[in-house]
Amino acid sequence: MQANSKLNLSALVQRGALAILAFACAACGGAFGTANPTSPGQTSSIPAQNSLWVLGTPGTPFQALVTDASQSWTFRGVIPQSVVIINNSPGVQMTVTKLTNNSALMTTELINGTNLVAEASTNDPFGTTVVQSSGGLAAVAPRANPDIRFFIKGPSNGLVNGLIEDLTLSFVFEARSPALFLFEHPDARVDAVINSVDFAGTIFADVLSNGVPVVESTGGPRLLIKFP
Amino acid sequence: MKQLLSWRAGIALLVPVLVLFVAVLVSTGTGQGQVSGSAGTLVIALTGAPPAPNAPFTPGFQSLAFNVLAVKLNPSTDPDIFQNQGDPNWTTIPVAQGVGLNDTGTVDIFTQLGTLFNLNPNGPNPAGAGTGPSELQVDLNHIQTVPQLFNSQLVPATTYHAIELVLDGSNAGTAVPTCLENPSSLLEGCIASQISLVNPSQFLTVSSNEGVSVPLNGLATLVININPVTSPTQAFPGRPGFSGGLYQFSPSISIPSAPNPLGLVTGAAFGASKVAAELSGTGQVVETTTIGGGQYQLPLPASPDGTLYDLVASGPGFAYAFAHNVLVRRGKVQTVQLDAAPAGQIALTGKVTDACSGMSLQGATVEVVAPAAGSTSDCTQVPTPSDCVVLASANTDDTGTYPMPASNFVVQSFNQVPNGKYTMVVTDAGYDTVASSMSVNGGATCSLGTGGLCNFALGRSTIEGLVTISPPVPSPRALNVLVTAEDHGTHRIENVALAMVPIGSSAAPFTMFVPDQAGVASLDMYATVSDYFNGLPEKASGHTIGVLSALAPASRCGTASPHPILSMQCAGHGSIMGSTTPFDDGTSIVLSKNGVQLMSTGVGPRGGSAPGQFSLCAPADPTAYQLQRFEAIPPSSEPTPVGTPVAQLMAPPLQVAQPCNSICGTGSGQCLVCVNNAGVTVP
Repeated sequence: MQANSKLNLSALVQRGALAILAFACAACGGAFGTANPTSPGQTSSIPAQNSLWVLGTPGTPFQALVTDASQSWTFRGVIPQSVVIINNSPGVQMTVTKLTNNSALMTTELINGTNLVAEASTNDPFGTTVVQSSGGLAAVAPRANPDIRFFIKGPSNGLVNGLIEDLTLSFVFEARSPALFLFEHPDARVDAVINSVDFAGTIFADVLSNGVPVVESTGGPRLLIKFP
Repeated sequence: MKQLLSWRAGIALLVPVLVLFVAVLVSTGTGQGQVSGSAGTLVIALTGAPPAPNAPFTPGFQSLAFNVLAVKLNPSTDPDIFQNQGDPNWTTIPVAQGVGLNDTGTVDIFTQLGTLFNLNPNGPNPAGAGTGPSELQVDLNHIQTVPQLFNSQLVPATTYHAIELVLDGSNAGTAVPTCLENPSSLLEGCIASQISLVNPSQFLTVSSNEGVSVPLNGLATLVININPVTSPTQAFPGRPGFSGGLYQFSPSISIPSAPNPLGLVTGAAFGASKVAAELSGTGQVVETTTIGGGQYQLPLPASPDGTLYDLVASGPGFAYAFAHNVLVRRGKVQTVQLDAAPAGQIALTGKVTDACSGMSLQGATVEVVAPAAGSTSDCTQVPTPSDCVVLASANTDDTGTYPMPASNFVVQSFNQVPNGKYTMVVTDAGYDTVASSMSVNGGATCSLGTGGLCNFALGRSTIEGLVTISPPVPSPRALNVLVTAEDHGTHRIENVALAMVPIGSSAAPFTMFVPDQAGVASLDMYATVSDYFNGLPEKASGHTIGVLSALAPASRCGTASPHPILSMQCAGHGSIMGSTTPFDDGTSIVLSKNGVQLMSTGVGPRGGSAPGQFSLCAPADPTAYQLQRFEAIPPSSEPTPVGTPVAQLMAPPLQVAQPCNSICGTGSGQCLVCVNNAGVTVP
């Protein structure tokens, strides 16, 4: 009975802290505390967005081809990693191949909004998984050009949120690092604000243009990134 | 004015993730009292076996995966407790978090489990928030020999009698059957079908009179056995009414009888803050534990014959202490001392680049390796000798820099490398492996590093070639072809490349990096088409597999000549089912074509539902395959061929008239339905 009381007390403390944190976030001016001059909430809703996760045995390298109806990207990474297409066109398909000769697990998930819509796993050496949105795509789209990416590579497993924008659109995000943001059809300059939600450590974020890092930023708990 | 759009998935993440971290803070801040006052650690593992093939009703299964969300426990002995999911005494253990927190005495199995990085810690009902049911796909084929760790958690110290395994209610799992014995059903095999449940409840339950006792401040284990078909509810899996339709199962769970499929390794580890268990000689971490008071406990999965592990203890201010080839047996406890000596340490960092282009290499793996005690092996050999132990590993980031960043919660092992002499092994798909002597003494020097530092430029060569498909790709979608290069005469893959053949076309070029002549003497290549069935991508190809044997790679930075052409034709699916003897945990069956190894599969374990049996899907190629038994001794080592290979000619698929779906089209307008080849014996 005493044990249960302690657990219940712990649960109450947790819930209280949660409420405080949730209030703090809501009170920060919207966009999870991201200063935003564009009156969030005044714009129309958009369709549920797609995110892609590569999960499984940590430290397992992979290569991926991600395409939607308009553009495609190839990249390498290490499990775990999340991937988001910003300003995406309808439909998405991700083909991921493990790059190790062992039985490490690799699971790829396609999330639309809050729904898990496709999932595939492999334990095979250099095993491949394919996940796609309903109906799939007729073909892999042309490679993104310009290919602008934001790669938040640290802190490991840290929870971050923020805003990524070009001259005409801005996107609020929240993700766990490492997370790769693929910016489809960016309008000229891009920049970003990244916040550490859980204060897990220093934020490491790069901007890559056509495969070349053009900005390497370190800091936190709030990090501003401007395209050079 | 800008238009503000939001990534809704991210927004919805906020609540469950904050719950996670608040919970973490509480358990850390007051955790000692909580641990000492009321809780113990429970480690959960899953095991099971696919149903035994039973012609003509039950096919073999290439894959039989259930999507697991959580395990729930309740101390109640009331059988009706399962109808009261709101009972406050339920303890929910979700799929492992990706946070990797290490409290004293807590087993962190983050490094092993699937669907890690779980952003939804609240199980099946995240209160309308979250990112969908992040879940662990548990393939019964994969866990029938060695159980899979699910998660560990501090739970109230008590005895639990009611146990639930929670499946994804909207998608319980996926089955990939072999071809059916009776082709007259005209059901296609070797394609993925969703699983439906006879009893549509997502909760699989079992009551235990004895219960699972979690001791105060102690460690307990719970192994849950998944039975995919429950008698008398169902005799065999229910076949779908049409190709690609739902496969019906009646899964249940049980607590396996003794011996416990886990073994326990324990002992002293003076100076260590963490002990990791790796599959022996591989560096593949299965489980880690943080320790306090100089003692550690590691419950580890074991096969029926026992499983070999390497143990590595590390901590701030101390040298590594490690043990090689620790044989963990089911239900057995053994003691391994891992006491370390004090040593200075450095944070090890460096960069990995392409020796030809100078470009940074992302995703390269860097390992610190040393020979096992008593071993005379030279760990600078490539491939790394099996009695060399991986002490730490890291990966490169987008700038080619290692290690990836650490966090307050996840320690990067390269931040604490003790003084000493090691081997640094650098690998990346498509590149020469570098194994360099490394000396650490206040700084690090590497004999093969650039300028003596631990920065590495990896060599490689290039293969440019062509894939061809017959007949040309029909509408409505292009086809991807995966080209694979492996060391000649082995299934040791060096790299893969993707080529896309457009609609109406029959060919596409590919380019692939592979090790140069100094890295590998010759390569075998094969190409498989990623076919679609009813618009969904399938793992098993319906096209023949194009092969090419013994291709000589070019010299460093060169391009191989001649350029290979790999040809594939639509042939339809086929499958092979058979058995081999003798067999053990290290037995596998390898399928080859024209001397090129294409795929391998394990065999059912002793005491399982199909001991010594195997099944696999392969295109119904008019050219015979070769099947050969391989043995890995010990099971984690490189398999070697044993016995005489047997030729296997595939039965041609049935051809049926439209309307129908087919894995690929031959141009005849008819669909192909795969046929099984049963009763194959591989000596």
